Amino acid sequence: MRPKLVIVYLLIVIAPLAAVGWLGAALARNEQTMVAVRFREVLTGKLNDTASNVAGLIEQRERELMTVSNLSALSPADLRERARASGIVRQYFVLDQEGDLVYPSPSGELMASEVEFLRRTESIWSNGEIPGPNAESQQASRAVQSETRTKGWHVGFWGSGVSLVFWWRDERGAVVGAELNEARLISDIVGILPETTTPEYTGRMSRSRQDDCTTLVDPKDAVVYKWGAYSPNAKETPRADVALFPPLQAWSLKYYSPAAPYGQGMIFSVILGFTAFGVALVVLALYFYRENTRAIRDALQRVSFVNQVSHELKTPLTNIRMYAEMLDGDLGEADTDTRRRLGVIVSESQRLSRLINNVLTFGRNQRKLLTLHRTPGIIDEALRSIISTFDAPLNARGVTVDLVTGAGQEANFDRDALEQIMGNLLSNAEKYAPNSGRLEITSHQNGDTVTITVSDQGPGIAGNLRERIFEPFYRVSNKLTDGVAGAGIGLTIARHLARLHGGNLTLEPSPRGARFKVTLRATMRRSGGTP
Amino acid sequence: MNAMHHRSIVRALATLVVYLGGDYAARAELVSLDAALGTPVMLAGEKQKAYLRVALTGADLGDASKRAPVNVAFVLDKSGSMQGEKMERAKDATRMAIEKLRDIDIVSIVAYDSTVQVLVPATKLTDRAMVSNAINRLTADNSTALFAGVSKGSAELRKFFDRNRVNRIILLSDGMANVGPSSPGELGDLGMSLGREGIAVTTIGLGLDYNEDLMTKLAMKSDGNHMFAENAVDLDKVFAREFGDVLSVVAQNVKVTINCAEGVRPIRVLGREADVAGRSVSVAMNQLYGSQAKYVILEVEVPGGAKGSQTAVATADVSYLNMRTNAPENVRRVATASFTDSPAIVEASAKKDVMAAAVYQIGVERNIMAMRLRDEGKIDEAARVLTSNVNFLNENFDKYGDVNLKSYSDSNNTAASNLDSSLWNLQRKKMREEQHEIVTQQSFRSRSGTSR
Repeated sequence: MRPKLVIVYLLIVIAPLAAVGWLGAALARNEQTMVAVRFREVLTGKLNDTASNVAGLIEQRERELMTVSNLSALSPADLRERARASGIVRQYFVLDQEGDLVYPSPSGELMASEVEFLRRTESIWSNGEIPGPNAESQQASRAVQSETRTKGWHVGFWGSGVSLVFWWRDERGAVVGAELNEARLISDIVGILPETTTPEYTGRMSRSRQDDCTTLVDPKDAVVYKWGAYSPNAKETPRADVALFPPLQAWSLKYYSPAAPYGQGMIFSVILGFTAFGVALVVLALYFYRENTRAIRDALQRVSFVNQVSHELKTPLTNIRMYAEMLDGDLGEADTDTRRRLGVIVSESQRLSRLINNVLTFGRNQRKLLTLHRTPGIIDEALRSIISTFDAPLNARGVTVDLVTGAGQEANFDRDALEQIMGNLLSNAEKYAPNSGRLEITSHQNGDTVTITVSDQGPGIAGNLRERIFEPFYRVSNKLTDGVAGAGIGLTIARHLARLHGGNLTLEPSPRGARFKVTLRATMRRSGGTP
Repeated sequence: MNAMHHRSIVRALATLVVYLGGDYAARAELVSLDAALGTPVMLAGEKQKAYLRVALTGADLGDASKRAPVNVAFVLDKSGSMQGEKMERAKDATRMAIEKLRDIDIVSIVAYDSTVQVLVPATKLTDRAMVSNAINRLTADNSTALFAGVSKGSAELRKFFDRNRVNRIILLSDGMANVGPSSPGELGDLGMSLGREGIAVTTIGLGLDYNEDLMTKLAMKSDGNHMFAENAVDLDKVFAREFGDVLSVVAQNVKVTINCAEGVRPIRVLGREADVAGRSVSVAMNQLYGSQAKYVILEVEVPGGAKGSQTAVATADVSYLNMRTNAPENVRRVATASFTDSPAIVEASAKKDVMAAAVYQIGVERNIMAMRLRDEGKIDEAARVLTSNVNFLNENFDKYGDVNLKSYSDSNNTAASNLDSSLWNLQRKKMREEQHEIVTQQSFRSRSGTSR
């Protein structure tokens, strides 16, 4: 009983806890991915804002470059002077109608820096990557697209450097362009990106809020610029990563922060809730356990009290019975009135003694102390003797016993046990089937097996209660049984004893009334055998 | 209509009077230009090489109140290696430098390690306490984002950018740039861009761990100064020199254009960076300092003229922004050559100072070559080049008597003996500093003579 109870209690605690834990974890995981996604969106949005600022700078550069009117009309000397005076432009160039370079002309007198420029941008000129002014007419099929293009970027990689070329159509319709000083462009981008704020300088701003950083990363994956106090290690994956807008799409912004700044509170609250729920369950289970053990302890105390009382009652009752029976023997036939009264005393004390026996047997059974004391004898004789003690009360209730014996061979059995079984059955018939007329009792002996049936003509017992009536303290509740005294342990004990005796006590189906069948294993006494 | 006409004539006359009067004298003094061949007399009938020197000298500013307003950004290294004395000395030097500025001057202070902090956004020096507090708060840690530091410094400068101010970044670094673009080429490109814009970057290398190639390149391309402070205690002196320069600028946006005469071929410009296109050579300088000469030496090929004839070899045009009047000005000089058939006359008429200047620059070229050989591990060859350079400089010292040649000869001698010693790192930094000083005629060097 105990281990089963422990399992039940563990189930009470663990099963809901597991269910809630699983749900909570699933919820937390869901929530966390959702928060992570939202967080990434926010970060990406922030990085996109920064990328837009950079795009704004590029647009401003474009506008600045395109303010020079009629660039294609300038002389090479002027173009050189213009580039020399500009911190932004490394080299200007002008294309002719065929899309060939007019300045710096590969066949002209070139400065060393112009030769370098032609070498760097060779692929542009050899592949015609910048459309000449007549591109539309030459390639009519692709005209629709190229006609709308009046400016554009070309990003080339050479050696360890990058060549950023911007071209546009000037007012004369010629394609002109400029190669930018890349270092300067990057420097200007760095100039508009935020700097790391000093905690001292910004006053009360807490240090923890600065525990992140953003980096600008070049096409070779090298950090160009970084702001924020956090130092990510080399393999750390950024929490958000956004490429700059063309023409700088090979550059990207990456955001790093040391730990997920989200979800921790969620996990914490889930764990807290989980723990609280678990504690509540354990407390509840402990409460039930305590109540249960107290109930059991109370019951045991009651049983032991009843046991003790029964023991105390047994001796005086035996004396009462003994002296009443002796008195009955002494009286003689004459005094019928007195004898009748004496009969009542005897039968009532017998009933009381059965009750006490039942209680004691029940207590012994509870304590696993019930044993049999088999003695050789004849079942039928024992039956007759037992029934005779019930004749008077049964007759008084309008029941007549009709005994059909068939177990006349000598057998080894516990007479007291048989008496208790039969006593309980007969007493039940007396109590619950009054005025039912014939009570039929049969006995049968087949080898070791003795079968006794007790069939009354009373109201009977509903089929669905066939087993429950054998449970301790169960009493069928109906009009008939209400108001009839009883402890509800008689049938329980009778069945126990029958089973102890190697047999059983069952309620058999019967067309009318209740029909109990007792089977006993009573070893026959054989010649030369030992008892 | 009539009245307006009248007024404009009056104004024109007034301008003329001012021009011919006091201002004319001031203008004549501010930048003096000289263009001359090292060998003004050449052999007749023979194609030959000659050195042309175009020299510009800024006038002494005299009264400090006349000096041009300054817009300066201090870009200070606060990486981990700066911790302790270096940081304190740098702060002291910065404070001292700021002391020398007037309230109308603009200062910004940017500090960089792996990231950049703008300690003092560009501001007029009216609130000196704020600037001083910001300097006090400076502490050192982390690595070195030099490119970003200069970028942020230049962004601060641009807030108040004005060609009529001396716009300057003073970059202090004691370590290798290791965050962001860090090659001399990239920093050189940035320097070129800033120089063209009118921002000079002065680079100060502190200690033995900075990259002298990167720092000199940045200074050279932007026409700033470069100085090597071996110890933190030298920073005061270095800053003082630098501010001596900053506060004596007389002209900015200086453009030298040399147009060679028909038949004369420009070969190369010694030392300085120049654009050569056909017969036209241009060299840009960011600024000219008071009482100090800067020059461009151009090697040319002159076709032999007829004996006794005289011809113009080249025209030198210099345009600059007069920092006293804030007006652009131009000066022109023509260099001529005459021809003889007597080598003795050629020898005797040689201009010693021009020849010495050319030798000085060639000495630097050889010094650079030796350094490259040493970098490639060819120590013996490097030593040979340096030794021959010592002899070359000594011979020419005997010939032209310029003490600079003698002292540079000594420097080369020292370098030769330090090539494979543990002193090479220190030596290399000194060599770079010296090369930069000679090529750009860094002002305090010529003023204080051969101080080192």
